[in-house]
Amino acid sequence: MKENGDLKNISIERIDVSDFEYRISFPEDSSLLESILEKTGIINPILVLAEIPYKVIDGFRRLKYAIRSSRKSIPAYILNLPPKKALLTSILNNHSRGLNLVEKAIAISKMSCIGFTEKEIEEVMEFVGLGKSKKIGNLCLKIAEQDRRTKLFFLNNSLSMKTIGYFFCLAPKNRDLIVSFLKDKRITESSLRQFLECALLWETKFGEIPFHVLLKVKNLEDAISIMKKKVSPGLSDMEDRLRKCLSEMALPPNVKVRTDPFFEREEVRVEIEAKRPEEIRDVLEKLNSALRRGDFDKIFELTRGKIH
Amino acid sequence: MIRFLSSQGVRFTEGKGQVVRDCPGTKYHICCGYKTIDLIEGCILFCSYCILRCYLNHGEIRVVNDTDYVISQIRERIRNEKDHILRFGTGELSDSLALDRRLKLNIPLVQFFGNEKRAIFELKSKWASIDHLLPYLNKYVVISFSLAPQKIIESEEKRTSPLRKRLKTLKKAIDIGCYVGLHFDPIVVYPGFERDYELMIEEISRTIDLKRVIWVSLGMLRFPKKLLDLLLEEKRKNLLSGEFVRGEDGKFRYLKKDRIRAYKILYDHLKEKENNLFIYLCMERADVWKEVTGEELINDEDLVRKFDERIRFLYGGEI
Repeated sequence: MKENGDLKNISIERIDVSDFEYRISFPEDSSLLESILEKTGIINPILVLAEIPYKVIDGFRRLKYAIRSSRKSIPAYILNLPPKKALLTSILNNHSRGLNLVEKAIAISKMSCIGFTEKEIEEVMEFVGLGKSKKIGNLCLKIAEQDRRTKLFFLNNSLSMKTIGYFFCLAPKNRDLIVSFLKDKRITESSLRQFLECALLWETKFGEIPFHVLLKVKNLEDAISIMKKKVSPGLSDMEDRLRKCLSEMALPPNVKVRTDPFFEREEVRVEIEAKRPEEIRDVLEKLNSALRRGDFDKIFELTRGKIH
Repeated sequence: MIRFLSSQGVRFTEGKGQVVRDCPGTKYHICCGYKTIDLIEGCILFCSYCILRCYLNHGEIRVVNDTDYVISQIRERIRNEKDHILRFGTGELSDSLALDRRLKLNIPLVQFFGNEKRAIFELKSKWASIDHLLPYLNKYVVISFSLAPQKIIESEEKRTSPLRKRLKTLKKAIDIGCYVGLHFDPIVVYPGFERDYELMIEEISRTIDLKRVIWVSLGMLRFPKKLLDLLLEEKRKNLLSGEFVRGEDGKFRYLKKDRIRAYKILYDHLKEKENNLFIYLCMERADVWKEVTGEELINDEDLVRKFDERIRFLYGGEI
């Protein structure tokens, strides 16, 4: 493709630097790239459309670096391409360095804006590793519509499409608050998903999410625990009862008494870890007294669903 | 800008592979041994809680219009069955009646079961339209409706017939000599559900003769994770008002204690109206069965036997 275009050193003044029609790179700046360019200079020419002022197809970050470093000109291939081909060229070139999720979403959104058919978009979705489901297509459109802060939130936390899907189920106002709330928290994908699930249930059941309460907690796990108590009061109550029973039993640490986490199975598991026969004897004595006191009956009641 | 949309249409297909199958059941839960006839895949009623929203990944409604092929499979199942009275239904992957006035797929099946006199054919629906079947109905055909308080029908079953119309249709079926089935499935727990279900049971007992009810199923709202995500996305307040946990089969269900409470409320109201009603729990654990009905079922076979007894009791030597 480049062979068909003229390679020239073009004056930056002749480039429309405010045009971002074909820009898919996000974030717009890359300090890493800039530091490399400091050392090497701009070796790779940018791509521009053969119209005056020139429109950039690919190389926005290189152009930005050139402007910042007060260069007057930049090497460029001047191409004569219709808009659809120009966008595909931009996607292809950026894809070769590896697109992040937001960039993929921007690419799909731009394609849908300039008249690509659904089939053509699906092909590109598949090419960039998004699969071709309509749901993902619609998520891409939503991601591309977000403000910079939200896009960075997705990117910095390496969120998957599934988690982003949960995020978009929330009311726009709550999404903003969540981005602010999580700004300085350490999060993992699974804890964030748990948090979003609780937030969604809260929003569905009660409306307003109590951010004034959540803002007081230090980490995401505490926030999840507060929300769980409210959206799953029955399960939280049963967990509390189980904890109370176990603490009353005062068993040594080498014994584990477990139920299934949702109290569905009518079953209690007792595991003993011992290095000597006396340890087993001690544990059995303690278990026996717990049995006599009726502590296990209370646990079985939880698994039988008899607690109201 | 393109929005990614899906479409739905009706496609007729030839009979291929197994159309008559055992109800798949679910792990660690007792299943009634129903036989499903997959005559239609997909539904036009679009109930919000419907599991078909996750199971069928094609946007169309597929109709098997090769009745001879379907009937040959049913005949084979009946001939090979030595121990039980088989119960068949077309309401697993679709609604049995929603498209039937237009497609008239049930008529040959209704006639077949009437001639065969060896098994039961259940038409399970939320669409109260049986007039086109009236000349053909016989006592081996059970007309069944899923029943829910009108509040749930209006919010979650928007395209279906109202409760009153369903009950009137059940009465019509009874009047011409059919037994009917009542399916309280899914039972939805929301603030005030106790009163709504009580009033509904009152209305049912006022409208139809409960002695002509062959079976009543109780099944609490349950769904796979994929459907939970959809319900959350759509903010289904009524459906998500209760508390759900992931069961051993991976599906989400109300907490066991809440299920037992809801079942008992309905079970007691129904038994109060007609003590001889045959009430079963759909896809429940044996311990929940025991807690609600006092009956100890060990496995699926125990429940299938109870169905046999019920059918023999009602049909005597006529089956």
